[in-house]
Amino acid sequence: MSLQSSINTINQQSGLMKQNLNDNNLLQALKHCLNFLNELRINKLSPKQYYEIYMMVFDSLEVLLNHLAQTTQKKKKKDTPYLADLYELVQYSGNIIPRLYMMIMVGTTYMATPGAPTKEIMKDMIEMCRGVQHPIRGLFLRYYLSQRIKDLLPLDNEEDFNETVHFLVSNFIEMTKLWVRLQHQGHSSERELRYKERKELKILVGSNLVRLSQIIDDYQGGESYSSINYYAENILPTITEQIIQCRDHLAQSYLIDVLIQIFPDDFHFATLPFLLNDVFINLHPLLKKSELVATLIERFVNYHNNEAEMVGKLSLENKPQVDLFPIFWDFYVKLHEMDSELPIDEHSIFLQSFITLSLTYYPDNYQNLDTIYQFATEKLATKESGSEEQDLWFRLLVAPIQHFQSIKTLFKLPFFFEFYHKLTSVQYQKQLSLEIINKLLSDKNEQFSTTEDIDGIFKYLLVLIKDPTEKLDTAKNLGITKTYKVNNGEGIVTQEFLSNQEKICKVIHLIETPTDPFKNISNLMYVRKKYLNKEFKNIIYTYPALIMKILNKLRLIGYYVAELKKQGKDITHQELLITSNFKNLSVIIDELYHYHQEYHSELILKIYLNAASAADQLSQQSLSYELFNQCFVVYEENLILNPSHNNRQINPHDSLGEASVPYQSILLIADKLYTLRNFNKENYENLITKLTLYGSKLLKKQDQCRAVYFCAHLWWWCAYLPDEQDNNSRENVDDDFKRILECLQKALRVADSCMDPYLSLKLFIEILNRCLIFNVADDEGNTVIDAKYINGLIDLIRTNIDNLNDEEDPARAFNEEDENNQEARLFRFSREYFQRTLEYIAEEQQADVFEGIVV
Amino acid sequence: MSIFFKTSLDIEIRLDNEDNRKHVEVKTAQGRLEKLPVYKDGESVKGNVIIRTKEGKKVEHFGIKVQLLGVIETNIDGLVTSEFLSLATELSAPAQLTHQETYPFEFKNVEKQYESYRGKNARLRYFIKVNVSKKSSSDIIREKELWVYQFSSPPTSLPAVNNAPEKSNSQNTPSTSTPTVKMDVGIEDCLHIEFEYLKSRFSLKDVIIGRIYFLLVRLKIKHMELSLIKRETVGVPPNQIVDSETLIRFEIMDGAPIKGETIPIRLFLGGFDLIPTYKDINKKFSTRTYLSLVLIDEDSRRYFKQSEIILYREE
Repeated sequence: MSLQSSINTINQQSGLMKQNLNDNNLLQALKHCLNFLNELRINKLSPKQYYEIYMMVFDSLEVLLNHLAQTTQKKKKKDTPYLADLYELVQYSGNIIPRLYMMIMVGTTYMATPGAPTKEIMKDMIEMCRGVQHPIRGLFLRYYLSQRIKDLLPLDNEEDFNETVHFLVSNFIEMTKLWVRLQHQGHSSERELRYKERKELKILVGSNLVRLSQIIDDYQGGESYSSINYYAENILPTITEQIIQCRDHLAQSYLIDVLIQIFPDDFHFATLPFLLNDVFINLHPLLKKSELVATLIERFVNYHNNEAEMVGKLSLENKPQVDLFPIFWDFYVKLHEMDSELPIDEHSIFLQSFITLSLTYYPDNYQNLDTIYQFATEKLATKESGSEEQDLWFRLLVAPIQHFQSIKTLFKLPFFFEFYHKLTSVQYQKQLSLEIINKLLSDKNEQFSTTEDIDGIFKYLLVLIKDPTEKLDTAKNLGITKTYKVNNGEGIVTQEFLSNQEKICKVIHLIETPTDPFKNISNLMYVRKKYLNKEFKNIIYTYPALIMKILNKLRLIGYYVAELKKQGKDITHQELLITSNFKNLSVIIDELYHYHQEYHSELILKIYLNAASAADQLSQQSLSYELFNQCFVVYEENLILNPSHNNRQINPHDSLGEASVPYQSILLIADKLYTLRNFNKENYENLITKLTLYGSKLLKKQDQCRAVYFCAHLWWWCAYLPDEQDNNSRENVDDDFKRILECLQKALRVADSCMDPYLSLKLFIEILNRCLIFNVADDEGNTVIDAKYINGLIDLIRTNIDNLNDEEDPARAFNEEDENNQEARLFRFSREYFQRTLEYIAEEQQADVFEGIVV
Repeated sequence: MSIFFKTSLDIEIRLDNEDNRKHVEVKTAQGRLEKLPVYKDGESVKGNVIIRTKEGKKVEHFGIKVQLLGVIETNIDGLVTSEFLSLATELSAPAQLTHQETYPFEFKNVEKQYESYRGKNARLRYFIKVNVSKKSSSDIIREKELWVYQFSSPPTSLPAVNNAPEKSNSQNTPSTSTPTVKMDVGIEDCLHIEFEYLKSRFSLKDVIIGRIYFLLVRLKIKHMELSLIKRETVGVPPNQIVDSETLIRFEIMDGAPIKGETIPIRLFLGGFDLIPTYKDINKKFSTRTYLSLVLIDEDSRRYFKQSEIILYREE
């Protein structure tokens, strides 16, 4: 209501004023001007509304002002007391608000004319403004003054400059007072409203600082003049004194913020100790100084970054050489001493800022960071802390990680770990460890070659190593978190867990001492002993990687030693080391087996086999022998009757597809045995005898049969191994050939005893194929399996086929293609297989192989 | 009847150089504006009296004289007039007028003790009176009023009358003693202010400059004004009539100050119609001017402090 009527009045009166101006009736125009200025005396408006009418009045005053300026120029030829008279004339107005607006309007116009007593008018106006003590009206009046005068401020010489600064500073002081006073106006129940209003008005007050900054910028000064010194000596103390004295929360936080933002960086560099120790310390106790400090640091950091961009283009001549961190830190410590009840989030902001500062300005000085973490550890993390604090601490720790060139930087910060240790929440510890590990893995060239390095990194990983798997909160996580079943469906792990374990393995691979593989292995052993075996449940994820790494290193050593040997050097020491390392390795695998035999025997078997094969390659026969024995232990203890594959569908006719675990294990072992090179005959025979025995004792006929005919191959190899005496006699070879025949014979018997004629037939054909391999003659023209034997086998197969053909119902045979007719299909496959075998034989006979076989 | 007779003789009083003389506009009792020529103390009053007869009639008279009179009219219990100045010159012996006659006159270096004044209950007038004595009927009289200004220079011409501690000794040496007027006023535990005017004596074109210090503010002040009050006192106690009139209201502060604030005062007097301070003019009346500082609080209560200032007319 009252706003609208004010607007109407202003519009109307300013319209009349313009008319009068057109008629050159200045006095009448001034009268109307007074009338609309009277609207600014209004009481009931909110700051926003008042601003609205202020803007209208401002615009109308500009009209009058321009008119005055023009008429003055016309009258310029004569003497110019015109505006001086007018300046006095407008002061007769009975009400102070219109009077002062008029004064400022005329006064600033007067100032713009040449030869005017600029400084006197300036001083007079600001002095008279004291008459308005009403906060809102006073603020706007002074804002008007500052707006009008901004381009007229005298800056010609040092005296002018001083007075201008004085003018702006005192306007600032008065406006601050008014602004603060507004808080205490009206009823106390309106405190919130007042606070809000004041926030709306803050920019009026802040504008003074902006002007100050501008004139400092504009003023050139004499030779001895230095704007930084001037600021530090004359401006800053006055301003900050006022800010401190007002003891007002809003005013202090806003004005300090403006101060930080508006003045140039190098000013802040120069005055930092003062700003922190004499100003910030004295601010309102409830004020969040951390935010101010954060703003300040942000400026410095931006400055630094910009400067970094500028490098090369131009070098700043007065580049500030201020050691920032100690200044900030002293301040912080002092603050902490004064007010130990400082809320935790403030501390957090402080420390975050300091970390940023330190990383920006002291990228190579980690002492600062360590100081920060030390402080945090000793002073802050001592109390009981809730999840919020934990979160804040976590952020403090995470901050620098991405920044480091190398993760090894962390090793230089003992208190980083101390503080990390204070994180009681495992969740945060894990997160942080992951941050570290991710950073680590993102850097390709990282290597850990000393135990110190390993300790440095693995102490952070320990939490992941120990990560319990079973504690998955099904109510909370299931359905959201992707999970995997492990241990034959009895345990559940998350993808996250698996990927974490994988990352640990990757870190294991970073343990590398290129020049000394023995040292490397001992480091790996160290990791296991000190870290990896802290949680036996998880070793299944990490040990394989560790073992493979060690094996790899051992192989390298093998080459190295072999090279030495060639050169005729003494390798006893190396041999000893290799032996002991294998023993240690065996202990590791044993440990793994001990804890995980139930579900992971297959894997462990493979590991043993790998180790055994490596041992063989390094000519460590006895070790290899022992390892194979371990394989048999695993087989006997856990694989013979392995229940884990019960649910799998196994097709007995398929010799290459899925098969039972014991059968597969035998094949695996046989495979490795076949690759052995450095065994003597006796040991080798022992092993393969045992294996063949296992094969012949398999539960299912088809498994028995196949296992045995595969083992036959081992005897072939055995035949050419040197025995203890190193005499490769003919008898021994024949002995072994006999064993091959026995094996095949045994296989044949087993096949024959099959209840299923189709399966039996299939196995016969498979055996036939094996026999063909052994038919190949050696240098002396001897063959293990002669043509006669093979012919007998072919006849046997033919007979079986004929028998089956007879049984075949012709009607059903017609429907051979019927998918449901399983037997017929199998029969057909077998016949085709047989046919292919025969064709192969015939083909080969062209090349004088398979002599004597009748197709 | 008498009107008819009066018209038989036309008397005009023409002052020397009247058109070029400075005039002053004053309000008559009826509210009309009247323009009067201004004379100073000690200035000669010189001019001509022109007498014309109507229609060439012969008019006999028993002598013509011109008088310069200064009177004070007061109105306490009815109008009382007292003369304090009376000068007379014979212009003509008894004779017969047949045509237009011009008689020059001059009152040399007349001391005009007081200023002309038109107040509510008192007036001080100077006028020239031409008296043509007639035998038969009453005399034919013509009057012309003059306006007299009494100029004085600041230092010592008027005696100190106010309650201020000390007036300025000399404008040129303000440092020898305190040139200012300072006053402490207040309400116990509520308000304590100190105000200060640069001086207590002002010429009519002067500026009142001063400031107000707020030493204690517990009132919710809305604004503060300065007013000038003219006070006319006629007669002597107990038959005294006092008339006060606020001439100027001048807001000097908007809003509530806090302890420690200083509010400037600047009031230009030149634009207002003020009169100098007259003290006991011929023991008949006085006019004084008071400066009144008024504080208005949020409940529109007024707190004020008056102090007299001495106004004088400066050349």
